[in-house]
Order: sequence, then C-alpha cells, then structure tokens
Amino acid sequence: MFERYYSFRFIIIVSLLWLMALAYGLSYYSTDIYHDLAVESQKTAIEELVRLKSIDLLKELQETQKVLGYRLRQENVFKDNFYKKNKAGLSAWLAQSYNRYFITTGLLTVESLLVKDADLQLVAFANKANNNQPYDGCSVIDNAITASASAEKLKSKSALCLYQGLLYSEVAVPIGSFSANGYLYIIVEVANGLKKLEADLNMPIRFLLPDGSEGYRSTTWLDTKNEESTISSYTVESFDGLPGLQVAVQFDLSVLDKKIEEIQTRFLLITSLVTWLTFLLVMFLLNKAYLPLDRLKNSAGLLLRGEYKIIADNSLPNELKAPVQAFNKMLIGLRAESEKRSQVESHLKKERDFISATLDSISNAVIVIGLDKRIQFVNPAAEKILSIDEGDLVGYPFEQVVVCYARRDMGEVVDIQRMFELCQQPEACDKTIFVYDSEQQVIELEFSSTLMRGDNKALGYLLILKDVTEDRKLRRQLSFNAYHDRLTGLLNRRAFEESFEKLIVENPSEQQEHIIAYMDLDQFKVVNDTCGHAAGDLLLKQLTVILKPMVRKSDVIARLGGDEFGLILPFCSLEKAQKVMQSIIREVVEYRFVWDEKVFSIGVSIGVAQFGSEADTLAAQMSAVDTACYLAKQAGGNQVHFYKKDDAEVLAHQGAMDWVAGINKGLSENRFVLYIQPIQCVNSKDKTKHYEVLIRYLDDSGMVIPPGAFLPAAERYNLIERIDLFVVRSIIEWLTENSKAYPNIMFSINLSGRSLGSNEFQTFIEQLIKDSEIDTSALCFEITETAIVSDVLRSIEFIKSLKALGAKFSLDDFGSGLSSFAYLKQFPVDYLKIDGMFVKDIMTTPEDYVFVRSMAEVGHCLGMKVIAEFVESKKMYHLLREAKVDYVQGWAVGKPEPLSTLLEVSSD
Amino acid sequence: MSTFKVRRLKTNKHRLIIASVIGLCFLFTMCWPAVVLSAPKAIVKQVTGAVTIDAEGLIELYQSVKNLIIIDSRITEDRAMGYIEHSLSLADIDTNCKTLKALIPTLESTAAFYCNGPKCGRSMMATKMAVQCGYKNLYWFRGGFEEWKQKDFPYVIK
Repeated sequence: MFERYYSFRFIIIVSLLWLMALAYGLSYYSTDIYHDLAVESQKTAIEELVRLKSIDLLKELQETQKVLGYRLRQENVFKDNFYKKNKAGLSAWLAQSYNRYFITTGLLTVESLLVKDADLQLVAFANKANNNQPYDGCSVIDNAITASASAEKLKSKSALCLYQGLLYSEVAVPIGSFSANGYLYIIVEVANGLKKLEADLNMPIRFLLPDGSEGYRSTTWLDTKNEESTISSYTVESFDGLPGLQVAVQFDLSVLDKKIEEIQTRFLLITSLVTWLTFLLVMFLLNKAYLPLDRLKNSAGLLLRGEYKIIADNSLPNELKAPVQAFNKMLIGLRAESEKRSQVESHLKKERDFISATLDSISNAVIVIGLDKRIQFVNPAAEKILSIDEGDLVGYPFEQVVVCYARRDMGEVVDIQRMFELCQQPEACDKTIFVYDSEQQVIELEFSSTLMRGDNKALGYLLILKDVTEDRKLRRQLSFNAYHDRLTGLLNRRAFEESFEKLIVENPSEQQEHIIAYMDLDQFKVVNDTCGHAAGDLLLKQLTVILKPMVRKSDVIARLGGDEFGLILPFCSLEKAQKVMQSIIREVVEYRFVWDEKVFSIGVSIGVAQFGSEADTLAAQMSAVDTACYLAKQAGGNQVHFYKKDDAEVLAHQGAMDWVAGINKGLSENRFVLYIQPIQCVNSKDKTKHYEVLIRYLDDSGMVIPPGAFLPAAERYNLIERIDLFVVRSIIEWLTENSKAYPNIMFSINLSGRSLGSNEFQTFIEQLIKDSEIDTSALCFEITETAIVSDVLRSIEFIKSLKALGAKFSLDDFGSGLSSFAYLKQFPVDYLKIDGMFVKDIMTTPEDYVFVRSMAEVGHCLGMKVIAEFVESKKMYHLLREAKVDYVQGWAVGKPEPLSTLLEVSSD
Repeated sequence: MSTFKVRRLKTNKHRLIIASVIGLCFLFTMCWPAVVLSAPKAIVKQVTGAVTIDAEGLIELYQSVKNLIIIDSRITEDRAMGYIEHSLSLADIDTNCKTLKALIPTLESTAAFYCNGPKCGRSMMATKMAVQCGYKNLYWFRGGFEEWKQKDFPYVIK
C-alpha cells in the first residue's frame, strides 16, 4: 500500500472529495440537527407562547370575571335584594343574570354565581338550570378573605380550583366599596375561557382534563400523530399546584420542514458551490504548482531527445526549488557529460571514419584473421583483389576461401600458418604468393602479416595483400629496359658496367685475364645522315645480329652509345681476343647495308685492353679502351688497337688531356696568340692581301706552342668551339680597328667541325658580324672536308647563312678524305684548299702533280678558286702555276708571323 | 528654521486650546437649557390646609367619618372610565366655592378629592380651591383613581 505512489493531483482530489463528502455529510447532519433543534425550539417557543397566552387568557378571564362581578354588584336590584337580605329575590335575580351572562359573554362560560355575606355564608347562588346544588369549590378564596385585613377585604380574590374533575376559575368581588358587606363569587370553567387560544394562535388546540380525558379538541386537530406536526402543551395548575388543565397546541411542521429543507438545499448548494470553487481553485493552483513538475517532465522528455532545458527556479516555491535545482544541477552535469561524451564520440567517430576510410581507401587487401584462422574483417580492396564478396569471406576459414600458391606455376600450396611464420621476422616479411582470380588468372600478391596484440593478448593476424601482378610485370619490363638497349636488345652501358664490376668482384684475388673492348663504327654517320635515323637503326640491328654469334655466351656484348659497342670477354687471352676482334672487323667490313637501293659499307675501330686485378677500375679501363679505339680510328679505322700501359701514342693522347686545363687557362688568361701566313695569288690579278689565321699558345715560360699540341685535345674535349670563337672575335676586332688602314685584306679562319655543327656558334658569329661594321668579304672561313661530312646538311646551312652576310668559305684539306668528291658540288664554297700531302711531294711524285692538277680543274669547274699549301720552293710555285692553282701558301710565300707584325710591317 | 517650526507648533497649540475652549463653551451654552429643564419638578405632595391620604386612608376615612364627601375632580370623560363609588363628580375647572358649597354642606364637613393620579393636578387644584373657600376638613387622595384601581379596590363601571 505504502509502496504505491500517488500523484499530488490524486491526493488532493481525494482529499477534496473527502472534504466535499464531509461537507455534504456535515451539512446534512447539521441541517438534521438544526431541524431537530428548530422543532425543539419551536416547540419550546410555542410552549412558552401557550403558557404566556394561557396566563394572559386566564388573567383576562379573571379580569372579565371581576368586571362581571363589579357590574353585577352595582345593579340596583342586586343591591336592594342583598342589603334587604331578600334571598329569594337575590336568587331569582342571580338566575336571571346567570342566564344573561352565560349566553352573552361567549368568552367565558359562567358555571356558577354565588353570593355570600360578610361572614362568608352563602346567601344565594345561580347554577345551570338542572343543577340545584350550589357550587362548592375550594375554600381558598374564603380563607384569603378571612385572613385579610379590613382594607384588604375590599380587594377581589381569584383562584383556580378543581371541582368535580374540572378546573374552575373563581373570582370573588366584595359587595360594597368601602366595606365588604358580602362577596359575589363568579365561577367560570377555565377550559371555555382558554378556547380563545385557538383563535389567538391560529393553531388547533386540545385540552386534557386532569383525569386524562379530553376536554376540548379543535376541529382542525390532526388525530394521527405524524411527523409533520408536533404538540406543545402547558398545564394550567390549580391554586394548590395540582395540574388542572393541560392545554396542547398542535402545530404544523411541514412549513418548518419546508423552510428547513429550503435552508438545507441552499446550504448544500452553497457548500457544493464553495467546494467546487475550492476544487477549481485548488486544481488551478495545483496546476500552477504542477507547472514546475511539468517543466521537469518536459525537460526530462527533452533530455531523452538530447536537449537540455534548464528550468528557471527563481520564482519557485521552496519545496520545489530544491528538487528543481537538483534537477538543473543534474542537467548541467549531464549536459557537460554529454558534451564531453559527444565530443569523445565525435572524436571517436571521426577516428573511426578516418580509420574506416583509410581502410577503404587502402588499395591493399586488409584481412583480419582470428586465431581460429577464420576471417574476421576484410576491406573493399580485399574483396576486389580476391574477387570474393565480403559475405563469402567473413566468418569462413581463410584457407577454405583463398588458396595460396608459392610459385607462379601454381605448384606449391602455402598454408596460412606458413604465411604467418614467414612474417615472424619483420624484415623478412616481403613474400609473394599467387592466387587465382575469378577468371582463373594468376594474381601475384605480396603479403605481410602481423600478429595483432591487445592487452598483451594475441587477437589475431592482420594480413595485408598487395596485388603486385601488374607491378611486377612492369618491374620486370623496366628491369629489362634498364639493362638492355631498346633498339638492339643488347645489354646497355649500365649492364655492361655492372658486368665488369661483377667480374672483378666475383674473381677478386686471382690474376685472371679478361678482355674489355670498345668498338666504334666508322661511316655510320654517313648512313644516318643520308638515309635518316630509321636506316641507322636498322643498320645497328643488323650489325647486332652479326655480332652476337661471334662471341661466347658468357661474353658480354653491349651497345654503349649511338654506334659504340662494348665487349667483355672474361677469362680470355690477348691472342684469342685479337682473333675475335679481327673476325669482327672482317665481318663488319664485309657487311653491306642496303637502303633505298643505296649500298653502304661501314668500318669499325676497336680499342682493346686487358684487365684482371682489382686495381683495374672501370673508369680506367673504359678510358683506356676509349683511347685505344680513338687511336685505332685515327690510324684509319677498321683496326684494333691494343692498349698498353706504356703505349707512346696513348701517352701522347693522354697528354692531350692535360691540355684541357691549359686551354681553359689560355682562354681566360689570353695566352693564345694569332699568327698569320700569307696566301699569294699566283696570277697577281687579285689585289687583295690574303692571310690564313693560325693560332699559337704561349706557355708559362713564354714558349710558343704550335697548335698540333693542343688542338686535338681541344677538339676531343669540346674546347675547340671556344677557341674558334676566340679567333673569330679577335679577327673581327682587329678588322674593326684596322680595316681603314688595310682596305683589301682577307683573313681565312679555320673552323672546326664542331663549331660548324653548333647553332649557337652560328648565331654568335652572325651577331658579331652584324654588330661590327666591318667589310664581311674580308672574312673567309676554312672548313675541313671531315668537318662538313660529320653533318652535311647542317654544314651547308651554316655556309649558306654566313655567305649571305658576305663571308667567303674555303674547303680545307681537300683530298685527304677522298670519299667526298660526291659532296663537293653540294658545298657552296669559294675556295678549295688542296691537302698539303698532295702538294709537298709534287716535285718528286708525278701522280701527286696529276692529282693536284685534276683537283684544280675540278675546283675551277665548280667555280672555285684553288689554293695549294705547303709551297716550300720557287720550283714548286712554278709547278703549281702550271697546274692552274690560283693561290699558293707556304714558306716559299711567307712564314707564319704574329698578327701584330702586320701592323709593324705596314708601319715600316 | 527650527525656531520657525517651534513657533508654528506653539501657534497650533494655541489654536487647539482656543478651539477647545470655544467648543466647550458652545457645548455648555447648548446644554444649559437642557440642564435647567431637566431639573426635576418639585413634586407636590402636600396641599396646605388638606391632609394627603392614600387609598387605604380614604377607605378608613370613609368608614370613620359619617357623610364623607368624595369629590372626583376629573373631567367627565375620565370619570366614564370608572370611578370610586359614592364619589361626586366635580371637575377642577368647575371647582369653586359655589360649586363646592353645593356639594359640601358645611365648611366643617369632611371632604376628600381625587383625580386620575399623582401626576394629575386636578385634585390638587380642587383641594387648594376648597382650602381657599374655607373648608376645614379636607383630604387629598393624591394617588387618585390610578392607585385605587391598582390596589384592586372596587370601583364603579359605567
């Protein structure tokens, strides 16, 4: 019972209903009491009324009796008869009076009239007609008269007496005014006198006689004693206190009841009204009182939805303030908690999303395998890589779903336990397995697995699979590409170098002899230039096919550059190598390359070196074979040059390398000095003074070094361009300064093949010429046949563009190449300088003279002037004039002199 | 400031006293006639030359004196309400020596006067008149008919 909770409303409604019931009950009860009390009081009041009224009536009766007595005694007939003591006359008169007053008064019924003398002896009396017995009531009046003094005797006396069961009112008046000569008694029945009560009270009355019999009853008296009436009574007592006559008044209660009922109704109405008003007021106030509770409820409801509504507590009553404040405190606490939690949650969610996104976006398959070898988690990449849906993976034993093979040929199955074991050491954990995909294609997977631990407990394995199928394929390809030449399929330079290192490393201590060779094709450029690169490529491919079978399988043959090939012959003697090289040269020379109905033959120069000890570094060996190859080429091509450490040629060549620093130094420190050698016109027709510009180097000791010492080095190490530029610039400067003094002068400047092939050099020269105001016809550029041949088209472009500016061109060393007669007509040169080799022996060798003469003829045919160099004697001069040479150059004409001497000479 | 206040207070007090005095004076003047008027009238109990008696005295006198003349000094309208037996009606306004003489045989005859009651001045006036007329044995029943009736002595009803 007490564990049940009741709401305030319930309690208050119950209390109110209880109070209402109480009020109703009370009002009922009180109205009942009131009713009873009212009836009681009414009864009492009426009793009092009856008493008073009765007493009044009695007094009135007695007064009436007295007055009647006075009237009777002052009648002269009475006086006469009384004083004459005429008893008979008195009796007759009395009877007469009795009858008269008995009828007339109405109010009182005279019972009897008595006349007594002063001694109270009955003198006469009057009664009802049939009664001859004188009234003989109580003697109280007689006694009173007897006891009273003289004056007192004159006063009338009255008494109520019971006589023969009836109550009578007796009044005695004295006969005589100043002395009582006798007394006249008027006896009246009380009941009759009190009948007036009925009219006065307007209520039914009833008299009960002392013997209990009913003396009188109103006609309206209700006989049955019912609830609607009540009786009030008053007993008129006789003089001696005996009950004489009971006067009862019956009064109607219905009116009272009605009145009371009316009151009761009104009372109940008011009660209920007040109760209901109270109820409403209480409910209203209760609702008001509930408001904070409702707010609490609402707030609690909102709390479920995650809203925190603080309830204002400043206007709350004290008993609610505490819980509301506590609630608010709780709310604030909860909110703080929730904020913290939501922060943590959002943080966690972010983290989880991040991890999930990370896992999702990992392209590697991430698989979590429990200790029971069942799959617990897979990421989307895993589904994709394994081509299995997540639903078919999670929960199943890994081995049942995925079969892993150890080899590409799917020979050996790897069980999962082994995969885990393989990853015991992290560094060793880069293993590859193979699986079939949904289309039975082999997929190569790299995997790693980690034992996941949490709280010092193994949780499972994290298996990461990476699809490396494409990757590995590409890598293999790349690896091949990295070590092979794309065009020929031979090893490339890198592979070549690595092979060399490997050979050294793998055979360290033994004094083994290995052979390294460097092959450079001759005339490859010709094919490339005339037929294009496709032809060159084809040539290289075909050569590869030739070369490959010529070496052992263990030998290394590699394409090192454009037309350069390398060979490593491990454990090979020098003799054997020589044989191999010779056969290679033979094969290459015999080989014919056909393109567009053109037939080309090529040559090859080979540099060979022997190595074996660790001291032989790759760089040194490469340098050695390179040099050897160069020397072989210098020697005319299609040759093998064996490198020896004390090789004089090699040493000289290597000395050239020392020149690199010297040239750089010379250029920066202006150590180069220009010399000029005159070129004389044979016919003397040409007024122009013609000089070839030469270059010398001043070493630290002031020695003049001839160009043969440093130009090959400059040519080989790409410094020749700078030297050419230096020369051109110097001459232009000289011309700028001195052109006025020397109006008809022409300088022939040697240009290297490299400079000829350089676009920058061309634009630079052009700019120099344009910037200066010199007569461009004073400039003649000498270019060698080989220089042009290295890049014919480029050279022609160069020549044409400078010729357009007014410069002249001269083809130097004509005849040395011999292969280039075909090009000659293409070259728009102005001069043809016959190679000195033909000129110097012209005196002794008639063939040379023929050569020179025919060359001069060819030159003339092509509209060129022909120059002969190396003219050392007058005889030669004349012979050359016969051979129709236009210009001569040599000691016979003039030795090379410094450029500065020109000015000195002229000033002399 | 303070002095002004004090003075002002003083004036107020003065005014109050004066007003009270004036009020009291006014009240007194207003009440004076009432005080004077409310002073009880001198109740005449005796008439010089007559003996004042009560009802019993009248009865005794009647019994002891032969031919007692009882004069009812009321006007006839009052007498109609009842009168003492054997009394003679002579209203006070009609009372003079002549009328008295007609009723009272001699100046030595005993006579008693009454009217309605003590507040009724008629019997007193009549008695005084009788005294002036020279009657020697006069009695004034001061209580009159009221006392008579109250003491329940018999009377005559018309």
